[in-house]
Amino acid sequence: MNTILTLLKLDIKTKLGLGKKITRKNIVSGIINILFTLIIYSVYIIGLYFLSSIVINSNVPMEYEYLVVCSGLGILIELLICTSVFVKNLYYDGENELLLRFPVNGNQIFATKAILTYIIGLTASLFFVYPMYIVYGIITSAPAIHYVTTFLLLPLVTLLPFSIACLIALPVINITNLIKNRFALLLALMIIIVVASFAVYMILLKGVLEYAQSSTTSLLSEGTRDYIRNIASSLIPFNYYANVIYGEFDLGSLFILIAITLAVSAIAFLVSKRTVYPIVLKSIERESEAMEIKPIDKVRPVFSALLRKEYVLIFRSLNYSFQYLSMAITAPIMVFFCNDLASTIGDSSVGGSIIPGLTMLVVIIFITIIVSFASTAISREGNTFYLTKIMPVPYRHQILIKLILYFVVSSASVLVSCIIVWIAFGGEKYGNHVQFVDIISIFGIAELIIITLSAMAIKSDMKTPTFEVSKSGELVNANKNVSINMLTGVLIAVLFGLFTMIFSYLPLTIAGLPIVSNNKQVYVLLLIIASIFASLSLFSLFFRIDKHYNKIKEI
Amino acid sequence: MLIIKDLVKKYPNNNYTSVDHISISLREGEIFGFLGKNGAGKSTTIKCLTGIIPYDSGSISICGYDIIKDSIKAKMNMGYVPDNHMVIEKLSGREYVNYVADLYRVEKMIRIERIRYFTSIFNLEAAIDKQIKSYSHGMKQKICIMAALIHEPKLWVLDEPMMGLDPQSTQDIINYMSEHSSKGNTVFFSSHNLDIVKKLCDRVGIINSGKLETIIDLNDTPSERDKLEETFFRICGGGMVKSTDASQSSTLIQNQII
Repeated sequence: MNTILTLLKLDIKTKLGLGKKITRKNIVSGIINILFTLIIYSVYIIGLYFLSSIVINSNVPMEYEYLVVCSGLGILIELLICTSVFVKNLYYDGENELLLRFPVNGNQIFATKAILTYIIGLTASLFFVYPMYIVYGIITSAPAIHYVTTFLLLPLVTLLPFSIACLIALPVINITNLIKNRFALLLALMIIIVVASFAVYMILLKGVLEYAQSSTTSLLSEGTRDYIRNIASSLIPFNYYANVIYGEFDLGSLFILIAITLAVSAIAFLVSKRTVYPIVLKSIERESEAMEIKPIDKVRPVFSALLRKEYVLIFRSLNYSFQYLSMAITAPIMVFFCNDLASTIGDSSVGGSIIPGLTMLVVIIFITIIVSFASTAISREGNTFYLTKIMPVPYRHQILIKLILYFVVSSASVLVSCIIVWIAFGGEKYGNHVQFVDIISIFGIAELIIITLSAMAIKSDMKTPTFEVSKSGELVNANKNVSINMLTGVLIAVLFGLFTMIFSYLPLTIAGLPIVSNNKQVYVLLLIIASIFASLSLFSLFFRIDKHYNKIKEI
Repeated sequence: MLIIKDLVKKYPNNNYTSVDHISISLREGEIFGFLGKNGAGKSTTIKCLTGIIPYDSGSISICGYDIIKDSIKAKMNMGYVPDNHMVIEKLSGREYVNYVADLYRVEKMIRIERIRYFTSIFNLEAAIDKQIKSYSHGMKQKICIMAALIHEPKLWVLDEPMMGLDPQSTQDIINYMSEHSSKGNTVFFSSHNLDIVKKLCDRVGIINSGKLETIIDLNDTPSERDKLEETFFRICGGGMVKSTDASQSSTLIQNQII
């Protein structure tokens, strides 16, 4: 037991980064990270309250069904979190190999990782599932006991998905090991899942907004509601959670719930005890499995050799290729759905009029996410960083290659986004609000923002690279610069997007002096500002680059 | 070939001077061994001369090119094998060597020939087209060496190249070091293995606490070859020092070539 506690303490300390030296930079980036998390969490809570009010306060109340859905959603979220934490911590954590050299057995490692996963799951329940019950309580003016009951129910809400995750993780890890080197297949699957999730989310949001817009129409017909009601009451085990929370306290449901949870937990324990250790060993063994690569003795110019190396390193890593490509592919689809959503708000003329500004906003937000990968451009060199110092290639050329790497993918994504907007929303249907000049201007401004954000990201990584890489040479943790650059990008997106939305139709005057009075002038102004940003960031990146690059310390 | 003049390196936030006014001049075709205890300043000196870390004062020139002012030309004439044998593990051995060959602008036929030759002498035929991540420690070290030699550098710098290698691999590397220097190229390497150093090197430098204590010419004074351990332990401390006398010290001082 002492060993498990010691391992657990060490694991928690490592995960939370405790024991690291506290510097002013760490504090600043910590505050920025917290602010960023708070903003996103606030959006979740507001959205949750908004959607819950619509469902609970509709003309035919659906409180019980709401609780069933919430419990189901909560368990699903928990299941996803626990499974991914299990797979990552138990099977892909490089420290397993290290731990097994010490007098620690497989069951102790499993127990440590399982407890840690449960703690993470419980924390997730507190922040994602409990708010659903709190919102329910507020909207239905539930008594104080409701908040206590639901709080006490959280360990149970976590235990069931945690136990299922123990079981799911085993086939997941086996399948992952089997198709580990089939990057194209895995990458395509992952991108399809991301794109589909975004699309479903936007379609649902559009439905809700359409419903919210009209007080006379109802989201669901009476027949549909009866159907949902029947389904909800037979959704085992989610209905038992609702039975415990809804109305009178249902002790019978609680006992059934505990029995189901304990039964699943017992199965998970017995199965894991027998299978985890061999799978951990197998995973360690398979970690160094390598591909055989067809020999090609092709001579390449220095520029293309460097660029090829960057692409090879990205596309031979599932993690990197997903980061590099997923958002670039998702962006055009999201731009389409966001504009589609905007065009449904208000009458068509108002909806259509914000399309250029909204396109700018969404495009720059996605550029920010895509380019955030550049925040680890230097750090990803990892243990082979010394190569960049000894190769007979000027540092400015090496950095230029990295800049091009992000420019290519972001530009392609922006180009496709602009073409989609032009095809889908240009012309008469949306009152000629989207014209060729809008598309060209958005494209031009976006290109300059790509340069700005990429250069800023690379520069920040050059100042404080981390070089913390795993055994396979991949970066273990995202650089702290990522969040700072993301925040900057989002700020630029909001400012540029809102500026275009507002001042394309309202003249802007400062002290009686007209600054802009139509959309073309808005674009010219934004192009000038974006050009200044791009020039400054490039200057900051390349000015005295040799001196700055030489200062970078290895691990 | 390599001229280090009055090199000083002090790491930030460290009161200790890692490299303290070191001067070395290497001749064409010689093998120079760089000895010292752990933390004596060997790797720091090597990292300065390869351009990996900046230094505070002094100068380093490789084949007449200053490593700071004319860094690209200086680097073109140098090959470096690090102590940690780190290479890009996602590439295959051949891809990695070809990548380095591209950076040094090595012509196609020459590189094909050299890859074939090195693959054969280092016994890597079966592994060369597999990803490096599946290689053993020794195989990675050999790939590092292949990459460092693909452009046949005039100066070959190795930081503790024999560490953790099996006897066969060690012998392969020793053989190639001799072969490389016999072509008129210079080999500069750091090591803890005094036996190998005294058998292989023409000259030896001993560094202690950042200061170059002595440079011994093993060809001019063959007796120094046999006494290398004794000299090393006398300068660096520890070990079993058999005897020291005034004449030995005087020979050591005379042998310093700065």
